[in-house]
Amino acid sequence: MGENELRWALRQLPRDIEPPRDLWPGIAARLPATRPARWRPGWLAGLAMAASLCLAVGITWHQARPPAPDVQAQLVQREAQALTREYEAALLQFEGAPLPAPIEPALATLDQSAAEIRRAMDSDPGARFLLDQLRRTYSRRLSLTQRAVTG
Amino acid sequence: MLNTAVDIHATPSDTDAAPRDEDHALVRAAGGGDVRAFEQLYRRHARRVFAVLWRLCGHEARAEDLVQEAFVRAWQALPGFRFESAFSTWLHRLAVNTALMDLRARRGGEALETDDEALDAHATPDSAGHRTALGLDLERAIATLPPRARAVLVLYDIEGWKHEEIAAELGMAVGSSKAQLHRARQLLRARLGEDHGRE
Amino acid sequence: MTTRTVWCTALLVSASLPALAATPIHQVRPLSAEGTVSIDNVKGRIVVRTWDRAEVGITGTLGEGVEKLLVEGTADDLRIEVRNPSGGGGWFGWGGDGGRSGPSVIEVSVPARAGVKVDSVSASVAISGVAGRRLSVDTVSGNVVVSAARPGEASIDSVSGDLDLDLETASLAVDSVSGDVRVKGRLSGSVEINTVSGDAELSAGRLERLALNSVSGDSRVRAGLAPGGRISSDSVSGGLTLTLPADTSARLRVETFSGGISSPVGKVQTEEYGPGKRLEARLGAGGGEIRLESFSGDVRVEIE
Repeated sequence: MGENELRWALRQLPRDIEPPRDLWPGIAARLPATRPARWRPGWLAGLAMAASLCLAVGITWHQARPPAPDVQAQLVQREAQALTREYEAALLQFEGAPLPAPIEPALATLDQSAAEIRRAMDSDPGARFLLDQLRRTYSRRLSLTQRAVTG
Repeated sequence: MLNTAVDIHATPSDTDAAPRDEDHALVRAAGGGDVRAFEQLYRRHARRVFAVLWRLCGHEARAEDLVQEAFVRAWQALPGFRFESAFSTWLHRLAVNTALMDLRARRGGEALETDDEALDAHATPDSAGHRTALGLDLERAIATLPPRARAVLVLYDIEGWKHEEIAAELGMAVGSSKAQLHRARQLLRARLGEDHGRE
Repeated sequence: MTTRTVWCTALLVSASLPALAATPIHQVRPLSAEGTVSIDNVKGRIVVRTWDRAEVGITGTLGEGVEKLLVEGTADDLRIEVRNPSGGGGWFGWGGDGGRSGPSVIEVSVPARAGVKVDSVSASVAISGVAGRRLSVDTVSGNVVVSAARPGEASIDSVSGDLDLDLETASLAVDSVSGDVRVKGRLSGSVEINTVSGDAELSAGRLERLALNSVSGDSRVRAGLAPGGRISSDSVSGGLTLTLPADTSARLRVETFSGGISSPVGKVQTEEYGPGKRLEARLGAGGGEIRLESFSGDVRVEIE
């Protein structure tokens, strides 16, 4: 068969297939052992620190003579990676915490925006203002999460 | 006996708001430890997960273990779910990742990839189901592909992933993903050509 | 039906009538002329007005199920809080699950020069006339309207609530995630507007400093520069239209990676090192500085 025919046939294949047996019991048996059922508010003390946002951007340079574009790109990218690591570690502190449903659209917007900024940074790695945007968005996402969690 | 679902499921991007909201409500509950809510998520998404894993690993029995493994991992990772994406997309990626990790671990045991054993694995009446002759040929043929080529073909041509995403997930260059896809399609066409003689 | 049954039925019926269930409020407290009032209400409405007395007057109605209205503090620092049973105002009293309390309407009259701090979650906020040292409003989804206010400085924070601000101040900071922002009035000094996906509209006089930041929200700004002033804006995918007065004196610099640039002065040039466009021009004597940066959003400069 031709390539187009093949590709069309592949696209027509069913995306849902019933497993030969009910797999749920096997899954259920392994669940309770894997993590605590409830997120414990006792961790709150540490959270205040986590989200107090040591997300300070490390680069300062003086406008008089900005670095060569490729050097700047490297610096910015390195900062962005460090920033993202710090942000993800801080966000991890809230893992398991129940969040009020109405806050989810805002968190989603912030997550989408952070992703949009990171994508933009891929195209324009030397753009310092994008780094500032990223820091601000992470900061906002963390403080909103913290407020939602601590009520 | 068993039903084989033949409905063609919409891609995650086609899913409208209501099922997604229902998922999110269940995710929130399950993330807080509600096992019943998680079971609802399982019921809603298991067939989709099984379909992709079954094809990825080309061997039905192992696919079942991987489906279970994927859901257990999903349970563990659920609190970190970011509500920006659909749960189905997130689960899908996690499941594919689970299968591919398993594939990598099994690098030594590629015996399954010989045509005969793979074809035997699909001789069961269950998988014969209600599909068209071509569909059956095609599923069997896909299962006979070498694992990496098969993974790329399944993810690209059936699941609709982009080469960048496939390359990232399989740890290969984008160019390699394209090459593997090309190879997979060539092999499939060749094997389907042979199969027609057999039917 | 027996008398008792009728009585029980009547009680059940009355419990669902707002007039009978909601508790009316009427309280007065002394406040020094430049004291500060904080108002905290999760759900319902917050209204702040000014009057000619050295007192704070609180009226309105408490929603059903609210634990109580807390009014405490000193004549310099008064705190008003709608307290819900789950302990504190808190976000867990918000939304369908756990939103056990009904909405409360809190109307507060304050001395004109009082400092005002308002905290809301979904309660809508309306503030008028305040002219104290500081006005601060924090909301999540409640909309905020500020009118005829003249605070020394103002800070308005929202997540998804829309902001409609008409005020006179020399220091304004507005933060929003997805709420839209509309600002106008006799603004001078420093204005900062940050949004994520919300749109922003600003109409101001001559500013020393204007800073606009958005990720995907669009901005429309009409503002002038005080001598030596500075306007800076950055955006990822949001568009910006900046309208300047004819006598603007500033160095103009616009940069974008993949957006469009439109300006009546200067020429759009492509970057030396790969994709990107920029435009540099001098307006008038070139005293101030205008720097507009975007990734993919269009930037449009207009001169009246």
